[in-house]
Amino acid sequence: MDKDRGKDNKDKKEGRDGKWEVSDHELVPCHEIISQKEVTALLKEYDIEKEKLPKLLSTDPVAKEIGAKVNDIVRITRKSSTSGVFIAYRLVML
Amino acid sequence: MQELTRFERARIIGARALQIAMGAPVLIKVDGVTDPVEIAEIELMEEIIPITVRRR
Amino acid sequence: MAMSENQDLDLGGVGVESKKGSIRSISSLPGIGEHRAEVLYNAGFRTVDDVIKASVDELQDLGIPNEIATSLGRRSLGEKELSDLLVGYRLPQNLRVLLIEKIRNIEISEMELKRAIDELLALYKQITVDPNEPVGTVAAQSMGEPGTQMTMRTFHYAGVAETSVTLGLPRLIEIMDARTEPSTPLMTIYLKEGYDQNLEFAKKLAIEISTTKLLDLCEMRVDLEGKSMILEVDERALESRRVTGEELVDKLSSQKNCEVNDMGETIVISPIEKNYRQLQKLFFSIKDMRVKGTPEIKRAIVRRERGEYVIITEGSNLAPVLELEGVDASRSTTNDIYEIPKVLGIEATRNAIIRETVSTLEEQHLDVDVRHVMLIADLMTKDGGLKAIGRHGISGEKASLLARAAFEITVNHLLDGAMRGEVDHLDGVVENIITGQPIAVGTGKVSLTMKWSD
Repeated sequence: MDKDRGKDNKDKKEGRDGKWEVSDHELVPCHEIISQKEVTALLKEYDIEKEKLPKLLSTDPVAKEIGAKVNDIVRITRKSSTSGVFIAYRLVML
Repeated sequence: MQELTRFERARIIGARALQIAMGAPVLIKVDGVTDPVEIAEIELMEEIIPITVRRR
Repeated sequence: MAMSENQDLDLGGVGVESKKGSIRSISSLPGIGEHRAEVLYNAGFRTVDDVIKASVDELQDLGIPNEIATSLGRRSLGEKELSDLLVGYRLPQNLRVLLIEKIRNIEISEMELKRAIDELLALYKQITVDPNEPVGTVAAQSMGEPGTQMTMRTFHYAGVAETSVTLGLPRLIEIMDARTEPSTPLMTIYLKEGYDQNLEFAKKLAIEISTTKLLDLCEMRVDLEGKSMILEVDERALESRRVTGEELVDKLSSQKNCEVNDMGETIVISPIEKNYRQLQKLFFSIKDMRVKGTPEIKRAIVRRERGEYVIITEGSNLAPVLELEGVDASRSTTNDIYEIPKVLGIEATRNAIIRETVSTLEEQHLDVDVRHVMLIADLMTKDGGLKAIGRHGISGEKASLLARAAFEITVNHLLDGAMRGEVDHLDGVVENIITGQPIAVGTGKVSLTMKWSD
């Protein structure tokens, strides 16, 4: 798996021609595609199949921006008013 | 011992209290405690109730 | 020193047995052998607790090597070191931050810290929900009950009597139903730094994005004899809407099958095929023509909010607006929940649902815990798209026939189910209530077995 694909989409602000990006918006948390190794660890920790994760459509604006493909798992680092930071995962599907 | 959720505790105490109320021999020194639920609670605390939960 | 004189005397009387015990327990500490334990004992330390409460310097003075003394004794831990020690514990971020905040300026030994963390973990575990807790039901009730207390008065004029916003129960229903269009769509457009203090710019942008129709700019007469339409242009309207005469003519010329003649004060527009049918067709297509602005945005006003100029629009169309120069695309939002998944994605939608719901409830002074709202938002967005709570969404998708029938339109569901020969496995809550059995929630889901002694 391409490791740098979609890695930390908040950090690549420079090098674009003034066009806005979806991930700049304050409502959009940081999305990143996780590696196969992390996927295995995640599924083992939660003891589930990946189909049981919430879904992210491949047509989702953020999914398109970070280049997520069907069957990738995306880690979402949400800001939470109750726990500070909350990590959620979504499975990309059609 | 595995940790029990409050539902599991309630269920075990309930089942055991029913047994005690219907005349099952108690497994602790009761020392004047007569309420079956209280006895069941003490028994659970002492981990001598022969009942556990089946998870999943 | 960690010991008080009083205790010293007490222990002195007890004799050899307790001395051995003390030394044994102290020597169980990492890096402390029997020899060092004895040294510590002679210096007045009696228990493990005494040792870990001593400062690093005290321990070093007793000849304990630097490395071991640092790991045992009290010292002030740096922020970096603290967070390193916290790695591996399952604690939420803000508790972690709070713990570091509290401990940062205190002298503490690593073992004491470990105990503090264990205590915190135990407390944290106590306030998390147990498995089998019916969180969904609790969330539904927590939203439903305040709903009954909400005012039925639906409209409220926000700010200076300029924009109307749906609030209260109707708004709540609107969010939960994920309606295609809210009854009062509204955008809040923030401006980028450098533009946000510029009233002129804000006003210009407001005019730029709000829809200007042809009839806002001119009077229209139909000349039946000449089979044409005569537009009398209102110069003042043109100016205030910042449209030039040429722009207007250009726009009109882009219409199909017509001729445009600019006669100065009037513009004459006629169909190429001169008949009444074509004239009528042209009349209707021209009547509602948008000369300028963004579709859907009916009106836009400028307001000063928290020290900057903000544009509030009636009608919502986020995507094109975010592209505009000077618009802060990181803050501008809409209250149209249905528009957000298309423009900003599903996670933004989740956040928007939470924000809109909480602000609606707060506005009515109802205090509902965010966790309930979060659960609902999670459920609405779990499949990647936006799904409503009611019959057309979550409840309509339930696997059980009886559960669906219990919710709404009972007869239809039963009839459809009967025709399809559906089977209900009675796995859910509703089905079991209907059939009078214990429900699979809380104590109802616990199954007991015999404990075998091995």
